Amino acid sequence: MARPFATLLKRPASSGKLGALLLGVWLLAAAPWAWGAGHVALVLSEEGGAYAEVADKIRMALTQKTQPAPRFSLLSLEAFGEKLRAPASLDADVVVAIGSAAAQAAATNPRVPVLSVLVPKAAFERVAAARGRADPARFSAVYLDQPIARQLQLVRAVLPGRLRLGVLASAQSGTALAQLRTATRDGRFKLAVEKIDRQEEIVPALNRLLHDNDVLFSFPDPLIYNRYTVQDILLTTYRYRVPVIGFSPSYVKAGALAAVYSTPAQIGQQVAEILYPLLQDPGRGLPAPQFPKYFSVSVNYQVARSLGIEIEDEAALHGQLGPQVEP
Amino acid sequence: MRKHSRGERRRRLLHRSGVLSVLLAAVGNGWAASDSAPPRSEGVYLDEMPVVLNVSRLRQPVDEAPAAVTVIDRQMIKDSGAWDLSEVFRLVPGMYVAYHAARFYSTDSIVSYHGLMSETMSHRMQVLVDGRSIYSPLYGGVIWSDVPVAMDDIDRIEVIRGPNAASFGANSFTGVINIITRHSAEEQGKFVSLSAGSGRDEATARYGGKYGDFTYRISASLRNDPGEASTIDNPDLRGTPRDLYGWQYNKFDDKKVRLLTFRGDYQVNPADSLELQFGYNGGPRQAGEVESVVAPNKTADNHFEQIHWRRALEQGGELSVQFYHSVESSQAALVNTDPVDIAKNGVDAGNGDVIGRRYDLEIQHTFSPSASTRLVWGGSTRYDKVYAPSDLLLDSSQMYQDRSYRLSRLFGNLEWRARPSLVFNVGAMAEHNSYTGTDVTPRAAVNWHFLPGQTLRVSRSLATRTPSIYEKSVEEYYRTYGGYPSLPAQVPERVDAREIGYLGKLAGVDVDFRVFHEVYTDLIADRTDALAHGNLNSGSATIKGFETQLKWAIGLRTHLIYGLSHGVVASPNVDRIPYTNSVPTNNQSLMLSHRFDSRWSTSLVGYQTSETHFSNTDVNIPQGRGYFIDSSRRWDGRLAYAFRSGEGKGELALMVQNLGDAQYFEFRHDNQLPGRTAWLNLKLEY
Repeated sequence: MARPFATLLKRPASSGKLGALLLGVWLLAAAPWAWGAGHVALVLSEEGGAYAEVADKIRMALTQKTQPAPRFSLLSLEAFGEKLRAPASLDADVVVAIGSAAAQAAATNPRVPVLSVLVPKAAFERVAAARGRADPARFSAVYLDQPIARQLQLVRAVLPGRLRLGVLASAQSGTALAQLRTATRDGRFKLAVEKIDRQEEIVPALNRLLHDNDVLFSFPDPLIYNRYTVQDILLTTYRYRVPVIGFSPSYVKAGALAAVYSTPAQIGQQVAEILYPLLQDPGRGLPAPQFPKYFSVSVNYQVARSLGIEIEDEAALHGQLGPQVEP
Repeated sequence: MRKHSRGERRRRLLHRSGVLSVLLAAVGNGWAASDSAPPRSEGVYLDEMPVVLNVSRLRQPVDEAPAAVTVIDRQMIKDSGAWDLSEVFRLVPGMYVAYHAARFYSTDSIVSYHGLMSETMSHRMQVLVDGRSIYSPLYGGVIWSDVPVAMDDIDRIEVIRGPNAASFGANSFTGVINIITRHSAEEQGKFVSLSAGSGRDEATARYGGKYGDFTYRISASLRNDPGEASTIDNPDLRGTPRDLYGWQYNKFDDKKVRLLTFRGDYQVNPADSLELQFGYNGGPRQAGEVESVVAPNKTADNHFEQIHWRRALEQGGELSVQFYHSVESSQAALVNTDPVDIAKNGVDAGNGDVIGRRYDLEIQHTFSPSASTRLVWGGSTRYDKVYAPSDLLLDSSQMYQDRSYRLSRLFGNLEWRARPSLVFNVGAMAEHNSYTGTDVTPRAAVNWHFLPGQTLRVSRSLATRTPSIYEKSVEEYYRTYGGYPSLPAQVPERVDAREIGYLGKLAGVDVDFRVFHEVYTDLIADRTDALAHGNLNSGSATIKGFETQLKWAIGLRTHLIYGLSHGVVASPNVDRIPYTNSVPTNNQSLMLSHRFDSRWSTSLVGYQTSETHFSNTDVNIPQGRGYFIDSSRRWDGRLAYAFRSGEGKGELALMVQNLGDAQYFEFRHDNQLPGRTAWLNLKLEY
């Protein structure tokens, strides 16, 4: 079903370029017939990778659903910047800003509704605050992060009975820590939090945390969970034989026990579902910012076995997480 | 064709986006201002990560292993209060550990699983450090003081109790010791350890650093160990006339160990990693007496270089290529101490230098052919070369020539999870070597988790041990120069081991129990009798017994680890090699550790070894008399205080070995161990 990000990212960059080229040719060919069915501008923070994957999925899903198909323009950040300098040239009905950089760029233009995707909640909120965009009907998002409650459901599903969560947090954690505190207020989980300011403090903080906690519960803090620290974190937690609940498939591949996340295709699908009514009725506003509706579960069964943890297959876990999670 | 690796491409991509944001900021129209959000805040989700917990770092759970495994982790090493690496193996059921100072080449400890001490060196085990085979190419045993590894760098030691050539390679005969050091990323920062006490002086320093994707550590240590006391207090002669025993004084066994090790880990890209290691262990090592010959001024000079490349494959697979070169060398002028012999031949007893070199290349591939199976297979080739004019038995015309040994092998193990509760392992090693030709040694095991957390294991394993370069030199010397022209070539020693094991939790105690039956044949006999009979492979023995290992978490702060082994050897004792009783009938070890609070902790460790028949350390071997070393019991203790100072942490510990000041003997019954020995150790980490 859902392909993990990691495999998507492996697509050689040249195929992304080729895809963009083909898409361009296709757009040129399709444009005369698609006139009047709406125009979606897809702004990519970077070429290829997950960004292109989201764009492809949006285009495919909307093309299948609407007749005649809407018009799509695929814009790089530079091209989008050009258009913003001559606002009249931006004739799209809606801008889908893919990635934080695109969201940041699109926020300056109040003329066209903007839906930001592949953007973490914290980053989106910072952009909205900085640009004074408190108009969700015209500036909204599908977050990249999962709701904390869904992550907690994953902990319950893969590690029943492990209730003491160790958490690392920094100034870059955004509101995740506050959300986690709220979500665990019912007392089902016990939280132990170590706050750090520098990456060098990660291992000492883990040494303090892992003695008395069952799980390292992670959220996407770029200071703490990046590719330069992944080794420290996973080797240290493994030494304590404490599993890590991650937030991305690549962290699971690296050695975290499990993660719940959304693939670019799943996000693209949700975006298409949001855009469809909007294109039918251009007067309609965007829905409020929302968490991903579709998601995948990934488990590192080798790590699980080594830690002596038995876990059901990913499909069964997905079922246990259920579709309904409050944002 | 791919022109660039994935990592490179990603770096280029990142670089480009970096350039892009600079460019955009330079445009200066405000919307690219980077103060409102990091430009790639989604990167934390989308970036690829290096595979950290790869096949080689993940421990196999003991109840899934196709053999009995004892894991000694850092905490156990620390709690044991061990001074020398060899001592920690006293905690392994069935392991015989004895400190001695007998042979002039290997004044050191014996660490031998299931004994069978037909020689004074335990040469029937595979011993690995990070995949590097460290048994001596000369005798096939390990000189434990010469191993270039700092105890503080060890992550864990896995001891496989039983033969396991399919997974661990040549010489995995009675058992395997697999020492794994910590990844350099785990040892960042500064570390100092200082020890001082009775005969226990050591200073260790380590620094771990990082450059982007490259982490490294450098450890250095100096150790001064005067060995045993210089006099023997209480030789237990069991009524035998004193003059039958040569040792009136204890041995020349002072040693200074200078150690320097380096490990670098480079994450080339998310899939590929490179591990680089080198190490040095040298310094003065006195060597004790054998037939009145000593080497009081011996110096050791050991080093190795190792490179290991690993590529993570899909579904947890891995491709790995490893190469190492190791040199084990020592210089010694041998000195004669026998007045009669001195009068005849002078004080100079020859050149005791030894230079052993090993080159080894290994390729291993791990993958899952199907969802329920996993295959590890690969091959390796090795070249050993030894220069040892006095230690090898050589004609004077060959004394200063190198002797060499070549080994190639293919190995594989298929793990099949037939059901979640049923795991089969089938493996084999095919070996070809320049001494005994080709051999195939298979292994099969089934692990049945008959209830959650309860496992029954049945396994059978065959293994061989080829003669060491020393043993080969003996054979060739006697055939060519020693008057036995029809002496046949030695064949490998063989073992056929079967066992039934149980692993599980009973009343809160982790139990590892097994009964075993091991049949050893073609054991190499280092005796003139064997020459006379025209068969150097005359030995045979059967060992039957059981072993158990219990781990009990009495409370959150109190842990008990207990080991018991019982083994009985049956052997015809051909050629006067008394294998019978060469394994102590009963061995026990116990470690009780307790944490009072976050600062104070203590442990108490006890060992008991029943009497052991150890013929080859008898002063007059050809008499073949019943030569026993008495049973012994010893208690060690440790008291530690942990503290914090600013950013760092530290620990001050008092270690006492032989708390009861017991007078006892190991290895040879006038080889007396020091009485109560105490030292302080201060560790600082920041």
